Amino acid sequence: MRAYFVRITKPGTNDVLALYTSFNPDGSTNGAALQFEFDIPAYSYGDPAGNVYLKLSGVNYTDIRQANNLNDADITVYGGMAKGLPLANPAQAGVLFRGTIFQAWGNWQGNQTSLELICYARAGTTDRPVNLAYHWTKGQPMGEAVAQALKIAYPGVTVSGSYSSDLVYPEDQPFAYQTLAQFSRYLLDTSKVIIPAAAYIGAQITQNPQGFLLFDGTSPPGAKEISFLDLIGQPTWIDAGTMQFQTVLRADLKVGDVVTMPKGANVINTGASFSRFRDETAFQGSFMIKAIRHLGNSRQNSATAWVSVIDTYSTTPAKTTS
Amino acid sequence: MSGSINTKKPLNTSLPRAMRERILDGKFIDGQEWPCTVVSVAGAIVTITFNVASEFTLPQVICPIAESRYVRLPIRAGDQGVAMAATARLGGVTGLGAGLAPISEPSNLGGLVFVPLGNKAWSTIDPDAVVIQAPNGSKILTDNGASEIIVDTNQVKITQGDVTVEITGGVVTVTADHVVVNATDSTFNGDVIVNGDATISGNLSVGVNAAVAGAVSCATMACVGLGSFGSLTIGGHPYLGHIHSAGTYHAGSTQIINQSGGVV
Repeated sequence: MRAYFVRITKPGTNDVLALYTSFNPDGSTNGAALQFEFDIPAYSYGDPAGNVYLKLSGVNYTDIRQANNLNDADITVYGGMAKGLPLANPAQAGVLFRGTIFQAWGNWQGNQTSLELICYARAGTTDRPVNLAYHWTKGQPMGEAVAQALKIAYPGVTVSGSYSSDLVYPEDQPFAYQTLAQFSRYLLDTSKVIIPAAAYIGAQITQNPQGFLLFDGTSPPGAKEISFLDLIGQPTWIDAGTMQFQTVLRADLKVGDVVTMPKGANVINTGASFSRFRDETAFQGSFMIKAIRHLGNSRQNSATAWVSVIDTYSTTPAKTTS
Repeated sequence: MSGSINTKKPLNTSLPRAMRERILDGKFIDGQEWPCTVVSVAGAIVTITFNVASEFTLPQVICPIAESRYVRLPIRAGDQGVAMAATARLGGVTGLGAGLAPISEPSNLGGLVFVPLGNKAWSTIDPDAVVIQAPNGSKILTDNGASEIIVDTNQVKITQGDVTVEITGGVVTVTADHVVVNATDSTFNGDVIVNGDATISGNLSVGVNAAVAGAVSCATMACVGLGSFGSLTIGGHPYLGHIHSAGTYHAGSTQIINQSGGVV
């Protein structure tokens, strides 16, 4: 069964302002849960993809009154599949997004109500900058400087992952950026100048519910296997060097992960028609996830209405040139 | 659809805001040209801190002074100016880094140059003159050091090779193998001491005293013009009242035998 919860809390606290969930108190699925639609992009900040959009239909009137101002509140969105249907894998469910509500507005027309939210990760804006200021010194590995800068801007945050040790600069590079998009753009461009190999993907920063992940493909994590049964449709090219595939909603896949495409299905088709190709995936091998877009509508009965659309680098990124 | 994002947050109002944000992002990725103050100086390189209102602690930046090797500015801690930004890193030409700069933007505080600025509070010295003023004065010199002019708080000194003209402590000292003064006339108001030889090819007029510590001797002494002395001693004998030994002398056309008589 499709599972979700949206928890909205006061900024910097655990005081819950609103909670919308598909779970009953005993953990079972509430078939009468509110309709929940979402479009949640996850990406590297060097190539930002926009904000999170959420819509909850049928909310209580009190939830959209003047007094209930959710702007600037913290929000956590959980999604995936709960136990129930034969192919559902609850282990793939998890937190899809954690961030701040940028804009919240309600709709109340006739007897229909809904709450719509635009949210963003705490990545800073030019109006609300974050303190991404640091003095990256000559010879210091870029990953070390980036981790330090992130820890200054986000005290207590977890920074994992690493960059190539070849990413050093021949002179000091002090910086003061306002947003992760600005900072990441600089890092991406600079890393590609230092390591100009065509297959090098560049130094990336992504934010996931666990904190920040630094990756540039030179120290890929262990591959996660994609089950043939998880795929919805076949993978295809969507851009030069970018492969896209679609799975049922998966919170366990993060930007920077490496996935292995299945060799084939555990079913055998026979006959002279093209149907025999249906038990093979069009792409095989390992791929690093470049971006994910979680899309869903909890009450739409199509399989494509509760999915993760995953863009990957088509090849395992090259090691450094040195 | 009524009541949806399409009516309450339509794309045509959201998109300009998003574009504005991206433009501002791009502008902040570029080098930031902020007012700044020098914290410390190491030769032609300064460490600056920024004079901008920010809720964040901005890093100090080490960068070159905007100056030529041929005219160096006496930048000091506390001097103020603006940081100008290059669009590629400068370390290859400033010595703070190495190698050719890639055509890629450095960090937004990574390609800066300190440019000193004028200040309204400065006093006007001479608006029509090039003024070179510094705590320690100035130096003008050639690359090989053969010629140099120093103006500092204690001296004005001109050096060319082994020749120096030095003004210090109320004394002008000229050190040279040969000094030539080409002038219609020269005036010395005070004593003149010549420790070596003095040769005068024109007239010598001494208004007060002339003292020569050494000997004055010559095989032939000729004075074409007038010579005038208040008193004159020759061979230990005062010229006035000196006597002559016995002999034959002439006083005008009169021959005198034995004593010549005194000087009159």
